[in-house]
Amino acid sequence: MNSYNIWIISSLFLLSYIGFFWKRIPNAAVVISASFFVIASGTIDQDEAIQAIDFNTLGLLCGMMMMVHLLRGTGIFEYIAIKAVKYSKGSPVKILLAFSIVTAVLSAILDNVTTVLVVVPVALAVTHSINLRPDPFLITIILMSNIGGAATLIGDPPNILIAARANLTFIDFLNNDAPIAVFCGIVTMFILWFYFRKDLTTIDSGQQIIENFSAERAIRENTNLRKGILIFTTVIIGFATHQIHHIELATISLAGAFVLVVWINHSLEKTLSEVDWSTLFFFLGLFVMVAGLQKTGLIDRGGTMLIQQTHADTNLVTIGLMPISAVFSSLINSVPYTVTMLPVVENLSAQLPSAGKALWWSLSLGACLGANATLLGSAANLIVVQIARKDKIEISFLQFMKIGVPITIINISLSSIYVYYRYL
Amino acid sequence: MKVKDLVYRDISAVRNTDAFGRVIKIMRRTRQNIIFVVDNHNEYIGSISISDLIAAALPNYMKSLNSTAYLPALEVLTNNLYEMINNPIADYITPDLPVLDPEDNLEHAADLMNRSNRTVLPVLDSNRLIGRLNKIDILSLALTKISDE
Repeated sequence: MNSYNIWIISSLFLLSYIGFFWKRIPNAAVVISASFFVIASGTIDQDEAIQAIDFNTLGLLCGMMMMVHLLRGTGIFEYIAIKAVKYSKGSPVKILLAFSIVTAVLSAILDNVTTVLVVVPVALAVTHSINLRPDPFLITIILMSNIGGAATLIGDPPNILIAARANLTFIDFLNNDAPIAVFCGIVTMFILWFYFRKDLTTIDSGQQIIENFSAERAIRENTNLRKGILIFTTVIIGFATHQIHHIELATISLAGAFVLVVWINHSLEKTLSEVDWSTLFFFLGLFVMVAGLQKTGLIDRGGTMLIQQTHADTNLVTIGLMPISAVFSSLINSVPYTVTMLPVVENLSAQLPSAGKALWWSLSLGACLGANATLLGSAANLIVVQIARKDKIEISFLQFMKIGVPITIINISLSSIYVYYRYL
Repeated sequence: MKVKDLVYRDISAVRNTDAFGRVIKIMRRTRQNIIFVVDNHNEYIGSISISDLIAAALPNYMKSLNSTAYLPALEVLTNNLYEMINNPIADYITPDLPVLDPEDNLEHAADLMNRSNRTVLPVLDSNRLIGRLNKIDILSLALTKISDE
């Protein structure tokens, strides 16, 4: 591959990342435009571009988006959030704990964006009703959504991408990522309780007001809810038993979604219109761009150089990958970072066979947990800020980083110790 | 037939500097769900509806909730309305409501109402508000025709 292609690809990547920062042009438009130039420049041809697209990832995401939209309509997620808050009996500390756990659990089974779209308005309603400052709860939701998302294959887009590339299963993530994610979640909750303790003073009328919230009235479509839970549970079981039946996750996800649409007699057009197509096209464009990068040989050269510089020290490379992933993930969003790193880690895994799957777990934990350092780390972070801003609640970049960075450092340190002692 | 043949000219309007509380009183007195807003030169600026006023008084997070049925009885709405009572109505105007010209035909008027999901539209002459056209007046034409026959 000649230097012309290398310059083209490097320039396209640089311009794309500038585009991600600039935010004036939608990310999907940036990457699809860049992908066009990757193909037009001859770096890869059309067939190579099509082969680079991971349709399993796109199908899995599409199916999950459809099912989650249908389940949202039943009110089940608000029911879960309100039920958890009612256990607090108005105690601000327990409300914080309730939102932490609900966010983390929902984030593990839904995507982060849907989780915050559901939980944040409920948190605003609760804090508004008992006159609590909302920002501690909103910051908590951001942090716990990323930690919860790290626990499962479907919890966070980086994990979906890693699973497809490294042939990791749903159970693999439960066995490897989930334990440390749970531990980090517990540690984070303690830190947040301590950090926000002055904002968590008990309100006298709080208990009465919280008791007047009616979780049951959050449920709007009982019959559809039962059907939705049945299908969703079946889909999750399908994910968990992939090693037995070998049906791809995308197939299970899409089948579940379309069966649910028909069973609850919902409009297919409306359901499809709720799919976040710009996210899917964003992924599609990234796959093509990274294929172009890989074709230039830059990734192989970079991987070889890294091995040489570290003298093929498996421990150094594996552990070092995590904080590097955390830093980049926090600055440029975990998804484009992860897509770019997939061929790099694949290359490193081939050159460092003694690392086993540890490199992939490092990438996963670094990318997911790193998103907590800044508001740029994931789309869900920014969505919380936008929702809050509409009610004149400001969460500034610095305000978030003051707690996000220390928590990320602690979580990455704990995860590094975990990876070292478990795999190396 | 044209809009000028059905336009209702005896209408109330408010100024963009009028207070939120005053506008509510006028809308209640005149039993209008939408009222038009003019500036100091009586030129049309936009409209304000009951829905706009309620939306302005509700916290934004409520619009993000799938349902508010599970919330306890809160005084959020009345408290917010009270705080807004002296705010100028200009802050809450819907500026992009379609407008009608007296020379427009009624088919166009009916189509505009359907597309904008409105039951009443302002009628302007050189940007000055001269009246309004209600959807029910267009529909009533059919009854007039039947009784004539």
